[in-house]
Amino acid sequence: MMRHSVFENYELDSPLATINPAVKLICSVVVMLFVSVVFDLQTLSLITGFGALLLLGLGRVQPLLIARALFPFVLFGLGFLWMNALLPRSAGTVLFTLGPVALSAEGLRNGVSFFLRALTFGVWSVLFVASTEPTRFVLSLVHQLSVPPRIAYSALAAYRYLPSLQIELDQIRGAHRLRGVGEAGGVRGKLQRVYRYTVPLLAGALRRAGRVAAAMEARGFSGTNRTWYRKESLQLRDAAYALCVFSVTASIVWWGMYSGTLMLWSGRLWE
Amino acid sequence: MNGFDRLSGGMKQRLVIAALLAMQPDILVLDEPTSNLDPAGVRDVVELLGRLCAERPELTLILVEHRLDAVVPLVQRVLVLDSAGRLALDSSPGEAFSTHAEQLAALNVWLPSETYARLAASRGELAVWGAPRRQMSEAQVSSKPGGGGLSQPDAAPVLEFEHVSFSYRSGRPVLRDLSFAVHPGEVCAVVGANGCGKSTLAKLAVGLHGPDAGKVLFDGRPVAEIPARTVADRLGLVFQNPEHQFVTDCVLDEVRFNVQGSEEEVQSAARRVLDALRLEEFVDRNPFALSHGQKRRLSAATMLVSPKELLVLDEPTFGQDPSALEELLRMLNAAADQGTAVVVITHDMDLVWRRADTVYGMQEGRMLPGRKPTEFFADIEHLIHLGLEEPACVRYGVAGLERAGRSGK
Repeated sequence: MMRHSVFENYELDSPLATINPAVKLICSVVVMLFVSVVFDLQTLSLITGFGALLLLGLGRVQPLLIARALFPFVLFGLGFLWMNALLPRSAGTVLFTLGPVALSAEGLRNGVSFFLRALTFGVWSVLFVASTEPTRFVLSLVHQLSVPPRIAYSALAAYRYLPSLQIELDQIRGAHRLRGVGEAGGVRGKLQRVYRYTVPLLAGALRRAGRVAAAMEARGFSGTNRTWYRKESLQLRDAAYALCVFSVTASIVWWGMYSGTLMLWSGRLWE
Repeated sequence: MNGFDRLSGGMKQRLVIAALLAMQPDILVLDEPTSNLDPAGVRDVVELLGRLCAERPELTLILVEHRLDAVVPLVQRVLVLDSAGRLALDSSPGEAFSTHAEQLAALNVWLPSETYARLAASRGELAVWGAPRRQMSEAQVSSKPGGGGLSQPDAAPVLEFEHVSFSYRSGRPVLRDLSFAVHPGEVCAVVGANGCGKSTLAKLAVGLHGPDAGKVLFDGRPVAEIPARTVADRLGLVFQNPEHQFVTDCVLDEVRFNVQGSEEEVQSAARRVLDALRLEEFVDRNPFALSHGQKRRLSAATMLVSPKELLVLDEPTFGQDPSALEELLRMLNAAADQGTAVVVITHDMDLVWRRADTVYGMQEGRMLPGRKPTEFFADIEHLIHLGLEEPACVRYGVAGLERAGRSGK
């Protein structure tokens, strides 16, 4: 449970948490889609910085928590940076060579741009996840985006069981150790272990899925003639949030265009 | 997610019932609503069902249940299915548990304690659930130094907790300054409300977790220091979820796994334990293809097939029919007679009454001093304080009858 602490620590008092989850999701997704065609470093870093400001200001998420959530994105981005900086597609200006490896200026720039893009994705994802209570998210999916309740609630149920998979894996590992199953090294040992862990995990998950499905059926989650205890609605502040996100992003892009730094995808990945 | 973790077992069960009632059903089906609940939780749920029956006479309640003592007063009609799934009996509870009691016992279904006791008495049996494993007089027990009901207090303890504290990562403390010891051949029961730390205690006892403070000693050495190779030979834990410990694809291999000895010895030991636990017809099956009760018996079989110094069982009674449970308990007794220290974690007060040498009550991560079952259950106020209750056999006044077999002669 503790391993998913980012998802458990919603800052529920923050202004960001009061925004309608569907609106928040759409804003984040639109920004991320847009960012994937932006190539220049100035625009990318400004949009990332804007997201980080929202996260700290409106979201009131602790910086340490943000750093931890961004860690996988940083790793991913570093991978891109490394690949692009050292293995450029086209020969460009060579900055320096180290044996057979040549570091080119174009490669480095592409690499940094990919790294920044990964970070942008990270920030805007955390922006949504860290400030959204899952139940509210599901309700707003149903109410604002007309997702069938059957699917929305199933997703919620699945989400609830995520941490229990980790707990179960730990229990299986312990139980196997008690049975005297050595944690044998080597590829073969590893494969055997994966098989041994997978069967009970899968058996447990399947049974649980069946039980949850039956329980949801019994409790009328199939969605016909439902009444709602809580209803997610759109408010003025949701419009204000969307307006703020889109106008600031547009300003950043406009400034890039004005100062001539903006670089959009031109149909090729490498120039 | 929304604080479900903080609800007790009984509260969760009542919440689910409330959610179903909100849909205004005509029929409410409850499949073992009290299984895995502590006695206080059982009381809560049964009380709610009783109120429902009184306030909503138009509502049909269908209860599928093994633990009958608490729910029998609620029901108006009893249906019994035999092992082939045929309807074996359909009558009023009064009739079912008096005139048909013999028939029900033959079908291997659980009976209310009162019925069981009467049935046994009418057959002239003294101890209801099998014979006691050791004949030791009260005088003998109480004359031992310490007199805590320890069966062999002179021998060095197999398992020793010394001021152990433990908490899961960034969680609240689960065990607090907990000390107790288990000696060879001792059957000791650990009881307490849901969430008081019993299962965590079991994991520490076999070295799956290390203590934050204090020591867990196995045979005088920290349990974590037992080499992984010999762990399986020296101690065993029967988990609540049996599937977690299956490591092979067939029942026979599962039992033979890691047992030392010649081919014939291993084979005969495996067959013996499988026969005893009524698993002999499933030797070629995949463990995952068994029923839940069978899986739990197989999980116990893997731990009982070779002698161990310490056995820990987490809720062994859940999902077992009377004869399977009886056989499991008989094998535990046999193991204890061979010098195995047995720790049983359970909500089943009758099991504790009949089988334990020492009872340890747990409350919010603290361990109370060990006592003999007779002393432990004499203090009703203390029991209620712990969220427990007296065993049904004591409540129905047949305790002397049942306990006589253990401490008599």
